[in-house]
Amino acid sequence: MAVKIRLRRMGQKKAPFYRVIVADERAPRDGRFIEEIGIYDPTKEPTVFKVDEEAAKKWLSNGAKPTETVARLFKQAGIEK
Amino acid sequence: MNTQTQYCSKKSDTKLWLREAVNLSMYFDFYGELLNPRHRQIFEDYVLNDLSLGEISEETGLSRQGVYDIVKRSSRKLHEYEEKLRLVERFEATRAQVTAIRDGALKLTHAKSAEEIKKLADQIREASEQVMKEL
Repeated sequence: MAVKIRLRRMGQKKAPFYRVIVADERAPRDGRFIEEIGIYDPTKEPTVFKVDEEAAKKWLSNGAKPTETVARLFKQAGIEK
Repeated sequence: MNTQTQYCSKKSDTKLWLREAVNLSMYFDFYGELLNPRHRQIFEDYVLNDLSLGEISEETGLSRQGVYDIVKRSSRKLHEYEEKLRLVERFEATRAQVTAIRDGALKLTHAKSAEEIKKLADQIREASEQVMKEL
């Protein structure tokens, strides 16, 4: 089972914030996810990016694939496998 | 610089990439209804649900290039709507002013001197006038 780490846009219209979620590749849109490991809130000044680093590393080393956007956020935050 | 080309491009710098992702998601909130339903769904999957071009391609049966073209075309359209209507820009300016008014009012309840009260009241009035201008 391929596992992905993605952002999911939450929040009301016109007030975006994002969750960083771990989800099965095959269940992208129906709301199911395995674990929420962080949040990204670009509406705050400065932008908030909080992520459970241990969980992120655990998932990455177990082969979970981050999306391009999540990979960039991780890199910015210095999170690597 | 053409920012909408940055989003799909792996070469673009991370800050620009993220800003564009957030901008597009705001534009989508304001103008998404103006995209045709099929494009809207694909764009939503790409930008809001963070699906890859490959995943959307698998799901819809379109080629990866086809999905890419739709995402690009939709991005361009949303940018054009914003350029013409400036609804997001005005919304954000108004939100900033209203936040200033709220914060000023909060501080006002704790103000200690007449001088401080006058200063905060001036700030609130100024921010209110800015909002009125935006309307």
